[in-house]
Amino acid sequence: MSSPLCRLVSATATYDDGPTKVVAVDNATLAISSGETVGIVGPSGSGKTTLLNLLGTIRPPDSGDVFFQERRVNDMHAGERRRLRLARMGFVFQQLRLIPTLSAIENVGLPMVLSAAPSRLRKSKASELVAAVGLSGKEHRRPNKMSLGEQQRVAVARALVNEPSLVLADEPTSQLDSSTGAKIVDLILGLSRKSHAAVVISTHDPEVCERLDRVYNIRDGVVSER
Amino acid sequence: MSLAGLGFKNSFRRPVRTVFSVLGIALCVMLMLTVTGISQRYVTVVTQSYSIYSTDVVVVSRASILVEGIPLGGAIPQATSTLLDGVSGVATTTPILFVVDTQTLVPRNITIGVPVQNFTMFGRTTQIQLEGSYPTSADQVVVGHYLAGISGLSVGSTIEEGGVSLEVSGIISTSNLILGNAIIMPLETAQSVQGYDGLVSAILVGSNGVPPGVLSQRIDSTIPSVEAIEPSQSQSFTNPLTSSVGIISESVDVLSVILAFLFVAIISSVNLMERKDEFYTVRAIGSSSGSMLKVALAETGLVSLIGFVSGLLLSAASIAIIFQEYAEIPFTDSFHNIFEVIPPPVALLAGLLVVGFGMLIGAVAITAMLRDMK
Repeated sequence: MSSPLCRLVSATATYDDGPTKVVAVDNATLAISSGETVGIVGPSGSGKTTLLNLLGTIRPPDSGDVFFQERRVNDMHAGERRRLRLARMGFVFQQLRLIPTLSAIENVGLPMVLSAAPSRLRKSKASELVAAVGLSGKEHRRPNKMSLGEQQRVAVARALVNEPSLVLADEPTSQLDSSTGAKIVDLILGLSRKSHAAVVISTHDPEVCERLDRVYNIRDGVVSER
Repeated sequence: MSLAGLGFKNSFRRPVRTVFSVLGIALCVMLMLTVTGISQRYVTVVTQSYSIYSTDVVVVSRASILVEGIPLGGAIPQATSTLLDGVSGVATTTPILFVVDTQTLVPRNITIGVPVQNFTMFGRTTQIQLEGSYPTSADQVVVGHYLAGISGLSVGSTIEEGGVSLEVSGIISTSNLILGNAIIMPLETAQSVQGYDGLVSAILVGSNGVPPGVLSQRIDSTIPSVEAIEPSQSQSFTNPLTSSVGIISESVDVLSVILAFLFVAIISSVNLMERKDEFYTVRAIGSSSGSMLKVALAETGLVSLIGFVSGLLLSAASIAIIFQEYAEIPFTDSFHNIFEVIPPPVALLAGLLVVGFGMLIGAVAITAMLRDMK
């Protein structure tokens, strides 16, 4: 059996809520393999976003270990983690977080700008992805001139533009109606499958879970495989 | 789109705020450059108004009183020139005679006598327009335009001085107050009509590379009967004026710089801080600190630069208006271009200060954010 793409081993993450410490992820152990699709399901405030942030190396664990391709992320300095995220990971944030001054195609190409990709390559790749998410003809619109569903498509394209090995999507359908949400999940899964990327989606939509290879539950920071 | 492009686009995200910050910076720059430009020009004009020659050392009688380098009272033998020629470091000597008309309560005119070949020396320190020509014979004089106007003189007129009839060969127009009221004539003529045979008021000494301080000490020790002075030491009248103007100008400059800094600091940090989430996003995607710094620097640098350029244009306009409305000489007659009033080094320094500080604020704000993101 091949080694997993990334895994958490007894990882715990806490945050301060005034004088008290809240355990957002409690002693979590899980593994994600290349090309697999995994769901993280739990109610609001259960620790889904923190779990994705641990997998995405956005924050290190307070205790336990995070591995990416068997390299211990805890040992990496901030710059290394940043380069790892830029080159190997794609993020679809819960609030989308598109840059309002940039057009759709510029938002999609942003990770390639950050990785200093050649301009011609960046433009062709971004155009290709904008077309793939069904936004041809709207490349030059800014986010405020687009519907929420269209903005979500831009966010998906942005997550995939650097051809990541791991795509992390934080409740990508929470603000969408069920039909648009289903189309967005189709896009994430379809485009990720093409590039053999692993996908981790946090959601509380049972219909999304049905389409994924495996699902983990999370409640009060405790992770268990369904 | 590049990282700098992203920063530029951010600058125009809130156009009203950007316009106000540009305007704020522009007004501070305008205040700074206008005050500096006008005061420096004032200092130049005042200095030019009272300086009629430029030289390394002035040799005068120990009994003279010097007002702006012009010896009043006291005289030295013209033959002192020969003694000066023997002092090491002396390259040229020009004898000159000043006689102020003391017959009336307010001096009506000043007689200046210089060797015929030295008449053009006055144009070296102040701008002079000559109507007619400089004297070519002992019975010719040139007259300053103020005096000519009061006395109804023109080129070809005749004046009587010390019982001698002299022809006005030229009228000189100048902003220099002394030359404007002077009758300038060949040295021998001046000595004759004013009763100063063989005497001069001062000898202008040019050095052959020896520093003026050293040369004046050598002259003092070689010829004890005279006093050798550097011209800058003798500007007793204009120095206090120009130094007060300089102090006021510097104070306003410092205030303007502080105001500009505050504008840039407040606006830039508010602009950057309100987009904290965006910077977090870009950081989460994998942006390096350098990339984020570039965005912030481009943004704050651009706003500061536009503010500075606008301020430069506004200051040019305000200086022109001030001169046009409040000075007797129209701006276009006084200056050929704005850089005569705002010297390029001053403009460059102001630009570097404003843009540099804007970028520094951007760098500090983004560094503070990056520290939070670790």
